[in-house]
Amino acid sequence: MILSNDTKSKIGEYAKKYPKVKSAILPALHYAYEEQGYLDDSMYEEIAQVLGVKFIEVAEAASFYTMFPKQKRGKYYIQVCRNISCALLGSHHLTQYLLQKLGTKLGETTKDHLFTVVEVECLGSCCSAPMMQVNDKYYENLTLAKVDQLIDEWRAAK
Amino acid sequence: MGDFNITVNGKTVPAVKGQTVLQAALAAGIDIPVFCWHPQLVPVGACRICLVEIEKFPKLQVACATPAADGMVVMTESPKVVKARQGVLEFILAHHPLDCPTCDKGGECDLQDVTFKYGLDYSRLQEPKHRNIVDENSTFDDLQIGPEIIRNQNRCIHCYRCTRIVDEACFEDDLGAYQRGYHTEILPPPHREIRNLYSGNVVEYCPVGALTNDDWRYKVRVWLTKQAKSVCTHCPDGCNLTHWTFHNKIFRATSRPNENIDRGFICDIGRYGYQQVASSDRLKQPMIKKNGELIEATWEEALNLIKTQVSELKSKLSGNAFFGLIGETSTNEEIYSFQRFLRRVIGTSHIDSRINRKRRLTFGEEVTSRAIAPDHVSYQDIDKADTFVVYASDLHSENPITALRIKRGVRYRDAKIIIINSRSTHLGVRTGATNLLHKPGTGLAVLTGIVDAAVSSTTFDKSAVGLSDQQISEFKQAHTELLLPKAAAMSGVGESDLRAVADSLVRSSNVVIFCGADFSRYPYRDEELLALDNLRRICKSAKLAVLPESSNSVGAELLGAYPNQYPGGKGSDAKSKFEDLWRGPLPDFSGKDMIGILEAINEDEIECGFIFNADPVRVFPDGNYADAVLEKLKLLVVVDSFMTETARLADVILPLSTFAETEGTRTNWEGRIQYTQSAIKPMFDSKPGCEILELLADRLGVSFGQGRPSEVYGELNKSLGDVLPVRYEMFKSEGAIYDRPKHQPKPGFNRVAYNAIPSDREYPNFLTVGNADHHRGPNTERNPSLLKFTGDPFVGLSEIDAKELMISDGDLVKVESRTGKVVGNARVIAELPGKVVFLPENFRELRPNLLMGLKEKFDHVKVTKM
Repeated sequence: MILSNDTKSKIGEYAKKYPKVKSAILPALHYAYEEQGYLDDSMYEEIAQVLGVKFIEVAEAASFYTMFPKQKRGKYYIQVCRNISCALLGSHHLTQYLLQKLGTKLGETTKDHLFTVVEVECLGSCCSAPMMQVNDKYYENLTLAKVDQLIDEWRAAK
Repeated sequence: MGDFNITVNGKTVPAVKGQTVLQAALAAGIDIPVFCWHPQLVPVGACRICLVEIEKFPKLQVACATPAADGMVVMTESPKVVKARQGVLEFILAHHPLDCPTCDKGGECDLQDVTFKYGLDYSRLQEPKHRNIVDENSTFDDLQIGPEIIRNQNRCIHCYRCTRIVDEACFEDDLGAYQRGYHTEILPPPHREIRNLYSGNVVEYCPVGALTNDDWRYKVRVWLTKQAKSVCTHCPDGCNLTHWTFHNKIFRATSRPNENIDRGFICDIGRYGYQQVASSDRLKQPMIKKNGELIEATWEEALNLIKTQVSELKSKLSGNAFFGLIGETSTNEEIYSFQRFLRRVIGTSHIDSRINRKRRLTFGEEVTSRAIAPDHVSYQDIDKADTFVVYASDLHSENPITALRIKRGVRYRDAKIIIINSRSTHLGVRTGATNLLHKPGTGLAVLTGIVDAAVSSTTFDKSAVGLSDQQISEFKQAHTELLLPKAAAMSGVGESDLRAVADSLVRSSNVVIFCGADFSRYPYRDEELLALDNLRRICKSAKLAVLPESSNSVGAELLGAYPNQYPGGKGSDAKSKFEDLWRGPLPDFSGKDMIGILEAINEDEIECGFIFNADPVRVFPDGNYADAVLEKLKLLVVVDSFMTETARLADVILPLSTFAETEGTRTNWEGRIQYTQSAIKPMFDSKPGCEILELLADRLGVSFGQGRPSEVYGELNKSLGDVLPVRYEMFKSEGAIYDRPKHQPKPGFNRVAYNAIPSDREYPNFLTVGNADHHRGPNTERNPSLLKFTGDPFVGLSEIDAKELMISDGDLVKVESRTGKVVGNARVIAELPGKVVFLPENFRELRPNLLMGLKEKFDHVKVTKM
């Protein structure tokens, strides 16, 4: 049992909104992702059971949407913008600095399960470049010192 | 004609309401290319190749998903359409490897054909092609995704026909499309393979070479082959097949869609079941037993030996010292010739085809006399029914295509399935079926309990089904031991479940009741038929179908392969008619059935026999007895295609051509008579059945001059015109249905007698026999492809029993009964109820009939770990 009973009942409730239960697969995946931060086969199995659909239908939908992470990510999911405005103001250098400081590779998670660094496309904050999004929050007008400070804070907070 | 007309390419075409533009055009013979569309699947419009121009539509429309409307003007080949198709193909080919020379689909590939017709000879796309790499060290991108199926993702054009066939048409869940765009991958779920019973269809209907199977791959190019129309002989469903041959060898079998039967989908048993034709144990030449050993001989030697020995025996004994057994997979013409040979030439009425029955009086004899007969049910009735009752049958493995038809009813008409069985079967999976799982041997209690629940209900409208109060009270008085609370307790099925089923049956307007092979093995077969007839009485409209065992069981019944029946189901009064027809005297009308024959051999009354395409030692429910008894015969002539257990006992063996080498007709469970072409010439020194029987008759002094099936059928048609109103030539187009004689049911309920199965302390388990996955009956183990799915025999044990006996998967166990024992590897089957032992009947190393005692009414066994 991976998903909590609370999430399962939320999924069950949500499914009632649709004339066809298959339509609830995507919201169900969102609930599962919200709770776990990623998706995997055992969650598909549980969602399939709650909704009464086939395992493969859930697995197909989840694999179709590439922005659902299929592996566990760090507690802080750092998405550095790599598009033109941020790039001109040194986002590439910033990414390399982050990776070096955290001792990890792009897309991989640090051993303490705290950080995952990825590069993403424009997040619509060009006026405050360079910028990054960490989980649901924007951090803008970044400098190396600012990044150092943030990392220290997160490490302390754990 | 149609409801309205549309215009396609300037031609007026009739269309029916609900039809799509594509369907209307195809029906009128106008071709529109398709990749993703299939007549049995819901259109999705995924491939865009069927784009057509429709007047007043601003954009091109997909013909497969656009409903036809009155007055529509459609152009399928206008310059705009051709250009659009070019564009679609350019995108489809953007990532297609164009490896036609090494692709197995080349020559029958939809993409190849359509590209040849519409495609450009260049591409404007500069991007490198995406390649799905399976193995970095290999230049091939093949991935084995099932025991038989290989995937090459690069060739895939993402039409999703395969995944839709698996889901929509076959109700399975072992293939899906993962990811999206050109990253899309067709794969089974993680840690699984595609191995459902219908999996071969995805290969047949893949429009490109993305899915291929080991069976056909890289063996022959399709344009070199010839095709022969055939009918599957593995079960009585009668699916239509095409055999693809080259140099007198069959390379594959595919579906030959028949709207009345299979609708283009066949099971893997039919698809790979042709391989047995080239089995290593084929009998190549006639054989004669000398000093206890079978040695090869010529036809001349074998026939002469039969002649001298039969003449010698006949001079001493009457025709009654002879017998004949014929297998129910033989053609109608072979069956007819065989019984004519025995009756007219040998002079005996001891003929039977029901070699695996334990009870003496069976269907057609005892039961018809009590005026209970199955109704004339056809596939069309399945399409009309709203409730199905499947009694004592593993329909999925015994009649896979009938099961598919039923499941289709569940999906498209919300039909309900009620399964009454002592073990759970695959039909119940994902069909929302009501499973009444009862204790072994208590089916009668379940059936009678349901009838009681119905008639006792306050809402039961007895006048609607023509029942009177008196009949109901008589029913209750006659069955005091089987009424509701007792029936539920006896069978282990919940009382409320019985009531719910009764309620849904009474409310259904159209019920079809199926009973199958498990049923014929039950000790209470006839009583159960009476109880099923009672069940039929409580429904507004219900039909009862008894599914026969083999592909031509219905033909055997019809054409006189039974002892007390002349061809056409005629009785003793037809004797003089057949004496005229066959120009000679016939023996006494009544003869012995299978059990009677064996008993008579045992008592030295019968000394000589002919066994044609049958293996009683392997399937008769007391294998040791059949073996010992047949050994006693002075002369045993076996005509068979394979070296069977029975053939080993023979004094003379004549090699018989298989179904693929023999022209003829067979009658499926509906009573539909269908014609099979011979795909190849007889292999080795074998001969087709009719020719062998004519040779034997001729050698023994009575020539009929009918060595060819068409000649035999000519006589059948002449003499049985009232039953078989079809000429031989007519089969070449489509089968004809033989109408069973109708029986008037007597009013009221039947009285059902029942004795509970006594418990056996020494042998506490109950033996059930069935089919392993991808096998059916005793012949399928000769097909290598099917052995990939289930290759080894096993002893199926329930979880409870396995735990109690401390047995786990793969352990060597001994199964014993009072008459014999077998040894095999255990397999724990979660769905099996406690105290039930399941043995597949498909493997010669583990024959369940060795455990069955002829004198024992029930098959009690004991399992021990070795």
